[in-house]
Amino acid sequence: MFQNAFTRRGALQTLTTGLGGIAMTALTEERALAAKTGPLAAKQPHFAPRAKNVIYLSMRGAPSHVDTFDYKPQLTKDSGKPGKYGGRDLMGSPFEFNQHGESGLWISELFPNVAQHADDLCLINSMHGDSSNHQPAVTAMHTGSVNFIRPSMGAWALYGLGTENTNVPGYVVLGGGQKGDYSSAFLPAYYQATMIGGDNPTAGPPRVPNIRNTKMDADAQRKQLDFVQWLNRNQLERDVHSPETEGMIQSTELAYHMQTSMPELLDYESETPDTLESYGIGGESESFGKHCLLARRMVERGVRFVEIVHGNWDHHDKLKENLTQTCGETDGPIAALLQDLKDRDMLKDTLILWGGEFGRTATGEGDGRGHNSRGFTTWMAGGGAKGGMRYGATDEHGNEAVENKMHIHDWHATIMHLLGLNHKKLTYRYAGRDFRLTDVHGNVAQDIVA
Amino acid sequence: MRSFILFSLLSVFLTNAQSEEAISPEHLDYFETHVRPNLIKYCYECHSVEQGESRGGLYLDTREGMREGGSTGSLFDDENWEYSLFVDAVTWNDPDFEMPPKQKMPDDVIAKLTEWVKMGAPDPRERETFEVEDSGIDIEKGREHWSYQKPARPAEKSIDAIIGGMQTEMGVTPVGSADALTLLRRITFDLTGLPPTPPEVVAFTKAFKVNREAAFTDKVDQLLASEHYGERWGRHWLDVVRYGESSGTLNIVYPYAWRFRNYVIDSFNEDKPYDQLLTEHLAGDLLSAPNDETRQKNLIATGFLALGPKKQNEKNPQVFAMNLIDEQIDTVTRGFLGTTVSCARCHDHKFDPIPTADYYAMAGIFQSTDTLWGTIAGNQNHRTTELLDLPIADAGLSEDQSNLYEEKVQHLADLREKNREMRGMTGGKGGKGKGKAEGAAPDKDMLEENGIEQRDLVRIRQQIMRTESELEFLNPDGSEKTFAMGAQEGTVENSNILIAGDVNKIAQEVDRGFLQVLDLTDAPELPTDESGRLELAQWITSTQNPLTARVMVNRIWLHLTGSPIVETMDNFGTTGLPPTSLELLDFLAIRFMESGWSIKTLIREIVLSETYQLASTYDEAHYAKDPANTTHWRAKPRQLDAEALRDQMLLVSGLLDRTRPESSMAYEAGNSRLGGRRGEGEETFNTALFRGRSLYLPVLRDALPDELGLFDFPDPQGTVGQRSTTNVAPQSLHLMNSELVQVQAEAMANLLQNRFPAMKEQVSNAFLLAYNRAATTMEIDHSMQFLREFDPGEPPVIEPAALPGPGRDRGAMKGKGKKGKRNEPAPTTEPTEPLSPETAKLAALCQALMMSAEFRTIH
Repeated sequence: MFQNAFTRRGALQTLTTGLGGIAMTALTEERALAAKTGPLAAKQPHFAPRAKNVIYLSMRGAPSHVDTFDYKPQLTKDSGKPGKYGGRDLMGSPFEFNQHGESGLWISELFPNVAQHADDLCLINSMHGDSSNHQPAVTAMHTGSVNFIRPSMGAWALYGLGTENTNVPGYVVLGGGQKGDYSSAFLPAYYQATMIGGDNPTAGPPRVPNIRNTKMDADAQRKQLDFVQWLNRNQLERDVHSPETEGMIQSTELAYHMQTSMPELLDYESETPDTLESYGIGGESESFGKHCLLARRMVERGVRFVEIVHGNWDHHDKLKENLTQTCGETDGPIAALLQDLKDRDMLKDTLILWGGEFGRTATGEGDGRGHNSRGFTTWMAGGGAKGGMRYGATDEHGNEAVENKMHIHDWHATIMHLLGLNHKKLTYRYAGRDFRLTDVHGNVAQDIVA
Repeated sequence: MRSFILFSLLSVFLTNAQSEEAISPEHLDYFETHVRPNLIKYCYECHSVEQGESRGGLYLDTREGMREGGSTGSLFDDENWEYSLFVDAVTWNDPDFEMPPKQKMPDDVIAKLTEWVKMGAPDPRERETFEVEDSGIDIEKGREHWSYQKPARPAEKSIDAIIGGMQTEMGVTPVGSADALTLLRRITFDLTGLPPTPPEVVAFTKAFKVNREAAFTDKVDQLLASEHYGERWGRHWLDVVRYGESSGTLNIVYPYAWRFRNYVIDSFNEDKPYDQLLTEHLAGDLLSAPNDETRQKNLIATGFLALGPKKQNEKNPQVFAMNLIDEQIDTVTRGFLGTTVSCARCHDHKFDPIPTADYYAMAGIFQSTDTLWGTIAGNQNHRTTELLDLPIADAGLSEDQSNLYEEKVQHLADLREKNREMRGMTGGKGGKGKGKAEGAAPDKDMLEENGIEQRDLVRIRQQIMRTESELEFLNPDGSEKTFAMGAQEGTVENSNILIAGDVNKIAQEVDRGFLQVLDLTDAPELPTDESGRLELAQWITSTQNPLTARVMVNRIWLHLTGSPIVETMDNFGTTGLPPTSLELLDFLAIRFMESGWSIKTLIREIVLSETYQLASTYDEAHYAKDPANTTHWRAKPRQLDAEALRDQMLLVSGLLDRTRPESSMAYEAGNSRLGGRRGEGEETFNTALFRGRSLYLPVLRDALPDELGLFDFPDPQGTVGQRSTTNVAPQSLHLMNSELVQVQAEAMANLLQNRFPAMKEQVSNAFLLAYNRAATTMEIDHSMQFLREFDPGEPPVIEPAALPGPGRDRGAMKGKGKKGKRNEPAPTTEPTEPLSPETAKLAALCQALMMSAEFRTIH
C-alpha cells in the first residue's frame, strides 16, 4: 500500500544495514527476512491508515493553553476580576494573539515560527483528563490509566503495526522521563520503548553506550550471538511461555543490528549546515533541536513511534518570563521539523502530536497559573489530521472544555484511527479479558480527519 | 536558615498592635519620608513580594524580610551599625556588593538611609498575613479506608492456608515443588544477592536427597546468618530511603554518605528490630547511648534525613529550606507509611483525608531540626552546612597526609598574600572581621595601573574560600576529620501554613504533630523543648499504627515472590490499589509486629512456606485465570536486578571481592562536583574495573554507572518501592560489548583453563558455574562445536572520535579530588597479555552464557 510513496525511506531502511564497514553475511540476510514474519514484522492495519509514524512532542509540566493556542479575549477583558472558579482572580494572558495563515488560526506571539504552519495545525482546544497531578497525568497521556501499569500508546502502535526496519528500535524516547510511561506492561517486552540519550543536553549526538565490540569482528559476533540465541530458544522451550525470555531474544537481535544502524542514524551532524541551523543546533535550542532532527531521521528509517520529552513547563510563577523561555526553546525546532517533513513529502504520513499532560488555570496564582485538567489544548499536524482547524472549545475563560470535548481516551482513539487501527479492535488478552489502550472508553473525532 | 518563621502570627490584629507600640511617631515620620519611598524606588524591583523577585533570597518590602536578610546573611549589625551589610551595599564600598547594581543612589539618599540604620532601622511595615480556613475534610469518614484501620487477625493460621483459600477462589491449584537446584539458586539469590558456588551446589544436592525439609531449613538459616544477607536486604532498603552519594542537579558529591550505607547493612545483618531501625533513622541523635560505639551508629543513622537530592543552586534560603523539609516528609511518609503526604503541601490532599494543616504540623518537626549534609561553598553551591563530628575517629582510612595540612595552610597564606598585593596594601578599606579584608574595595585607579581585572580578584577570593573550606575537613596533624551526614536539634518552633506552598504567603501557625487520620491512643505528646522527631518515630512505630507494618511486609513479600500484595507499594491511600489479599497482608503484619519487628523472622517464615518453594512451571489454564500470579499458583520467574546480575558475573569470573570496601569512590573523590547537565563537571568515575559487590558502586544521582542505570537501578530521587523491569537493546549492548563484561568473560575463561585441562571439562564447568546445574549432552556438544569453529577475526579498529559512543558526551575528567592524584586518567583496561586463541574462544563462550536468558533469570 505504500510502495510508491516511500522510495527514499525504503532505500534508507535498507541502506543502514549495509553501512559501517561490516559485511552482511548470507545468514544475517536470512535473519532479516525471518524478522519480517516475527512479532515485530510490519503488519496490516485494520483499514487504510493516514499516518505511518508518530512523533510525539511531550511538553512536561503542562503548558498554559490560554497563553499559547487557546485564544480567550474574554479572559483578557475580565482580567483582575474575581473568577467564578475558586477564590482567585482571573488573569488575562500577557501575550498577544494574532491570526495566521489562510485559516486564520489564533496563535500567541510565543510561537512565531510554528504559527507560520498554522494551515497544517489542528488545534484541539477541548482536551480534558482526570488527574491534575503531574506524574499520574503524564502516565494517563501515555497509557490511558492514572494508576494501573498499562502499555504505552507507543507500545500499542508497535503491537498493532510492527516495525518497518528491524535494525532500529520501533519505539524510541528522546529526552528521558519515567520508564513506566513507556512500558509494554503486559504486552510482550519487545514493544517497550528504547530510551536514547537521557536528558543530557550536551553537544554532539546522544550517547548509545557500548555500540561497538572491540574483541571480535562482526562475523564472529554473529556466531557468538547465534549460540546465545540457541541457548535462549532452549530456555524458551523449557519455559513454554515467557515474555521475558522472548524479550531477551528480541533485544539481543536488535542490539546486534543497532551496532551498525545507530551510529549512522544518530550522526545528525552529517546534515547540511542549513538544516542544522534551521533546527537551532549550535544555538539556544541545541538540545531540543537535536532531538527534533533525530526524530525526523528516525521516522525516515522506519522507527514507528518517536517521543521527544521537553521539560520545565510547570509555570506556577513568573509565567511571562518562564513561558517565554520554554516556548523560545521549542518554537524554532518544531517549525523546522514541520518544514523539513513537508520538504521531504513526509508530513502527510507522519503524525505530529504536541501537548502537555494538562493545562493551566484561567485564574492567577501570583504571577503564574495553577494546574487544570478540565480543559487544555494539544495539537496535531500531518498524518491525516485536518490542517488549519480548531476543534472543540473551552468556556469563555479557558477554564473548562465545553464544546466537542476530547478526553484523553478520545485523543488516543483518534491517534489510533489515524494509524489505521480501530482502538476497539486493537486488543490484547490478559488476565481473562481483552485489554485496549482506551479501556472501555474513547470516541474517534472524525471531524479532524482530513 | 530557619529563622524566617520565628515570629508568630496569631492574628493580624495582634501583630499590628505590637508594631504600633514598637515605633515612635518621629521614627515613623522619618521612615515614611526618607526610607519607604527610596526603598520602593531603588530596591523593590528586585527584592519584593509585589514584584515576585527575591534576588539573593532577600525581601526588602517588609520589616521581617529586612530583619531576616538574604543568602549573604543579616543586613544589620546591631553592635556596629556602620559595618552593616545594608550600609556596605548602598554606599558601594565593596566592589562585589554594590546595590543597586547598575546605578548608585544619589548621595543624599544614601545619607538618609545610613542615618536610618544608625537609628536602629525602625520599620512599621508588616508582612501581609493570611488565614487558611478550617479544612472541610471529613477525617472521621476518611478513616473508613481499609489501610487506616488496624490489621485484623485472620482466621487462617499460616501463609499457605491463606493462599490456599485464594487459589480455591480463583480456581487454580499450585504447580508442585521446585527441584533442589532451582530452589538453591532462588534462595541464595533472594537472601544474599549471589548465586551458589559449585561446592555449595554439590553439598546441597546431597543433603536435599537425604531430607528435603532439613536441608532447605539449614540452608535458609545459613544464608540468613551470612554477612551477604545484610548487603542484599540492606540494598532493598536503600531503594526505599533514596540513598544517593551526590545531590543531583548541581550534583555535588556527598563524600560521607557511605557511612549510612554501611550502617544499614550492619543493621540488617544484626536483625535490628524494624521499629528501632526507623527510630534511629529519624532520631538517633536523641537516643541515649551506653557507649561511643552505639552513639556513633545512632548519629550515622540520622544521615537518612540528610542524603536526599538537593538543588544547592537555589538562591532563596527559605525556598530551599521548605524544599528540604518537603523531601524529608515525602520520604518518611511514602517510605515508612505508604502515604503521600507531600500532596498536602500546597492544598488539602485531593483524595486522602490529609489537610494542609497536617502537612505543616509535620513540617514543624523537621523545621525544628538542623539537617547536616556538608559540602563546600563555591561553584554555584549556595547551600552548605557543617557535618556531624563523630565520637570515634576512622582508623586506617586515610593515607598519610601529615604534609597536607601544612601545605594547605601555606597555600592559603600565599593566596592571601597575593590577594593583598593585587589589591594594593593601602588601596583597600580597613578590614571588618574574617573574610572581609579579602573583599575590601581596592583603589580602582591602582587596579587599572597594574592591569588587574575585577574577575581576577573574584577568582582569588573564591580560591581562598575553597582552601579555607578544605582546611575545615582536616585535623592539624593532617588526618581527616571523621565526619558524617546527619541531623541534630535546631531551634524548636512550629511551622506556619504557607498558602500554595509559597514562602511569601504565610498563614497561621500550626502546632507540631502527626496525621489526624491515624488516631492512635498511645500517640505521644510533643515536648516544647525538642523537635519532636523522637515522638514522630514513636508514633510511626506504634503497634497501633495500621500502616507501618503493612507497608514493610508488603516490601518483603515483593522481594521474595515478585508479586506485591499491594501493587502501589508506596501508596496505601485511596488512590492506591487495594491488596490482593487483605488477609495475607494483615497476617504478615501481625506476625511481624509480634515477632518484635524482626525482619529475619518474617523472611524465614515466608521462605519456609510451601508457597515460596513452588516450581515456576507454566500452566496454560492457570495462567489464563491469573497471569499476574496474584494467587501464587507457581513461583514467578524473575529477571535478576542490576546488582545481582553484575555480582553473578564477578562471582563466576572469580574476580569478585567479597569484602566490604573501606568507603566509596564518592569518598575518594572528596568534596567535588560531578558532570552536571551542561557537562561542566569536575569528576567522573571509572567503575569497569571495580571488583567489589555492586551495592558498593557509587550511587550518583543523574550519573549512575551504566551497569546499574541500564538495568533499571532507580535514580534515587525519592522512595522506590518496586523497580521497573525492562528488557531493551541497550542492556544487550552492554552484555555484548562493555569492558566490564569482556573482562569477566576473559577472567572466567582463564579460571576454567587453569583448573581444567580438557576442553570438555572446561565447558561442563562453565555451565555449572553460570547456571548452577550440569550441562546436558546436547549443550556440551554444541559448545564444543562452537569452540572449534569460533574465530574472533580482526576486531574493527575504532577511532573514538568517529563514533557517537562513550567519551564524547560526558564532560572530560578534570580531577580535582582532594588527594590530588585523580589528575591521572584512570586506565581503561588492565594491561594484559594478548589472549591466546583458546582463551579467546572460551571467553566468547563464557560471555555467551552471561548474556543468556537463563543466567539473567531466577526461576
